[in-house]
Amino acid sequence: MTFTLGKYVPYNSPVHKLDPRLKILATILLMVCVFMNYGSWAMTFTMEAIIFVIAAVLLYMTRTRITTILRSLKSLWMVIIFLLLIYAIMPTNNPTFPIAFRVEAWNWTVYWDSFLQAGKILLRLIMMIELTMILTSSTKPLDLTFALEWYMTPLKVIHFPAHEIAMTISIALRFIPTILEDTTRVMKAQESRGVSFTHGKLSRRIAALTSLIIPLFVSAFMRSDELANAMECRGYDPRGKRTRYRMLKWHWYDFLCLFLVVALATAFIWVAVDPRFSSFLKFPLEVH
Amino acid sequence: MNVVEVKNLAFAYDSDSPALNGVTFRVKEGDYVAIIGHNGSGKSTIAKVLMGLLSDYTGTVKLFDMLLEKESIEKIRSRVGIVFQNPDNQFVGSTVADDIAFGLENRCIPHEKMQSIIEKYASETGMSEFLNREPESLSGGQKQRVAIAGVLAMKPDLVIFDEATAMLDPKGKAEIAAIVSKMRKENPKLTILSITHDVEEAASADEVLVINDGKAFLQGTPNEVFSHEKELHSIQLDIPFVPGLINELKRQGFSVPENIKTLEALEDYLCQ
Amino acid sequence: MPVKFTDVFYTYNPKTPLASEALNGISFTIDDGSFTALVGRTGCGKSTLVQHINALLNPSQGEVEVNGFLNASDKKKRSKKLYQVRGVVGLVFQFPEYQLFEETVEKDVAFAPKNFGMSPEEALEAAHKALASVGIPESYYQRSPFELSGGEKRRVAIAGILAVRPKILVVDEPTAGLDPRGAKAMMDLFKKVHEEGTTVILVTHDMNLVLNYAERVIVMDHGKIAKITDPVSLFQEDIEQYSLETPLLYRFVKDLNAKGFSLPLEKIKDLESLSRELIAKKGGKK
Repeated sequence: MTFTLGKYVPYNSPVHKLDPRLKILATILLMVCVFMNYGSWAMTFTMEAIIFVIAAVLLYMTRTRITTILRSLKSLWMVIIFLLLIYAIMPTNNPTFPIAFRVEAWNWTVYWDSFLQAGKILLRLIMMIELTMILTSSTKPLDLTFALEWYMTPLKVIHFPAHEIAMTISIALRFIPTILEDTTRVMKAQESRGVSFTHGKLSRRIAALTSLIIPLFVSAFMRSDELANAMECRGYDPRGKRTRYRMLKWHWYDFLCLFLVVALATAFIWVAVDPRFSSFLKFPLEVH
Repeated sequence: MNVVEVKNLAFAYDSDSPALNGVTFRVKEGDYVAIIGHNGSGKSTIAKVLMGLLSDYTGTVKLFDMLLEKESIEKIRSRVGIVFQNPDNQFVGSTVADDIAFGLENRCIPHEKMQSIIEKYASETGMSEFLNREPESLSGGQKQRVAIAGVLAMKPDLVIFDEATAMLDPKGKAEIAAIVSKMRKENPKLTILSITHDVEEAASADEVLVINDGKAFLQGTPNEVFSHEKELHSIQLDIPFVPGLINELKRQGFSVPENIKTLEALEDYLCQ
Repeated sequence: MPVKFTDVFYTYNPKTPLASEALNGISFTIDDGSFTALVGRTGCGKSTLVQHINALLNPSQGEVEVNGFLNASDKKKRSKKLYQVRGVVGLVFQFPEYQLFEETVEKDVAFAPKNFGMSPEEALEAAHKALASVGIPESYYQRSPFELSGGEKRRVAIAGILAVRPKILVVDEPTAGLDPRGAKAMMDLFKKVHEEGTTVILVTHDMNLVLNYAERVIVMDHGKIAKITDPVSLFQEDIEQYSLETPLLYRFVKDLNAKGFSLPLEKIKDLESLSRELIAKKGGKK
């Protein structure tokens, strides 16, 4: 399954301006909030709805187009049907709602809980996508890499190659458009030699694919070889000390957001943990 | 002072076909030296040796009076910059500014100083407007200008161009040529070693080295080198327009005085 | 009429904010057996135009007729099995050495002929002929194409196109990155192919190639045809406006003429003819 997890959209929104390290942390905390259990169904949906609203506001701020979101959800249809089926078939252990329907012949009871369960999972999935989308559409991939490197820095003590990994990712990101260009060029060249990438027998298709992949590999290896030479000539030493041109900087609004997010997460965790809240809200028919 | 001193340099990528077979030459400080020769003649291997990218060579290589060896490589590299042929494969940063910064980062230039250095060299190479552009939105010539800016930002004493314009269109070639001549004017001590196919470019150099089959075939000022028309033709190298025309005029019985070397001088002489 | 463009328009990414018009009303014809150069600044639409000739792109508007195949904007009007036009038009992209992929030189060259329906034996025979014509010795046939030098790889790649025996050969910047010797050998190969009756279309920035090899020049500018003429007349004009470089030879003659000489541009093609005219103007030998 492929989700279109929002490409970076250059736009000067407040979300774009936030420090990528904060954004990563906030995304993780909000996801934790999404995936916690809050007791009764009414409680759970209320809490999820709060995060849903927050995510929607953030999405609006990053100027993510509704169509982009819908497109990423389109691939979820299969999941929805699958989930409904699974939860309908699976026996419900502690039903909190009356029976939805019953098929006497198969001795099969379906409770409303199954639908709610499927709905909850679906909501969580959607919110996971939304939150990731906020992160990726408002943060340059390179900044994300830097932020990840920052989080991995403590691991350097155990000789974890945090910098090398970050450098590798950033170079990979830099070369994606180049390799894509190579791909179009080789495809056109092979099409001119009578290759069809869309029609034909399986054996022809395999030949077509080889005629694309091998040249791409050859060119990628050549590029990496030359790039390594160029980097070495420019004094790059992966183990050596380096300074930074791009520095991640905390601003007052990063602190403010950090405070808000941590406060929110704490509140949510409290609600989830404290039994007093577990049936604070209830649907009319819900028993617990 | 000799910036480069190479004696009896020999190197083979695989044992049966040597790429370099005893090359000796030197480059004086502030000179513009062109190395010409066919593909596979070994001329790009010279650049690789000078940059310390190859180690199993024989002969002696000295840069800035330092013998090129493991201990001195870092010191030497910090004074030498190189621009390679393929504009894409030397663009490391994700934007123009990041790429110019790459070398500075490696040399531990403090963060505070970087922005001004980047802006300075971007403006010298005419890339100021493009600082935040990503490589895929730049032309080949612009990418090479970024590469030059990245090299100049390191304040090198020697800059090597390894067929840096071979993949560019005429406009890109002209832009690079203009930047190189500006570089030389602004810093007369800067030494330039240009590995090229372009004999017209070589004609404007201070010195020309012709490499053939891994050996120095001819060496000297452009006038000396290009007076050997027959020898050059024997290895299928052309000579530049002006000496070519003078030789052709001579062949048809019209002599031109020895002191006429440039296009302008030849035009003036003919117009008398 | 092997190649005929009638009012061709082409837009990249149509109906999006990124839409850009690459061809803007192109009409011209190329005669059978001619050697035509297609020139113009980077981004003027040359490569877009070339890709219409073998139906890699379909016009947004207008028609392209190539040797009986019709590539039109209207899908219904297009020839059936239009892709087979690629067996008639050999298109050599820039740096064609990056399209090699087979285990042996021979197999790689036989790849296209097989795709266009030749039997394995016929394809192999065509491959051997093509390899011989580009000057690749027989001892190379069983070697991996990746072991060869840059220039050899390019010749093998071109043999891979020639093996289909195209009626029209389109070459995009074939000498890029080659040394003078390799470049000359490459161009002489196209000259030979042309003399054997193939229509050659050369896309290039190198005006010296245009001067030495082409019979006709099509100059493109901003998606339009700016001029169709022959090389010698082209260089008499101011072509810097199209970002083209006047060959040194003509720049020199123009300079002299500006200083009072009246050298006949149309009679000058190389150093030898230039010298002859110069000596004639200077009043004989000195």
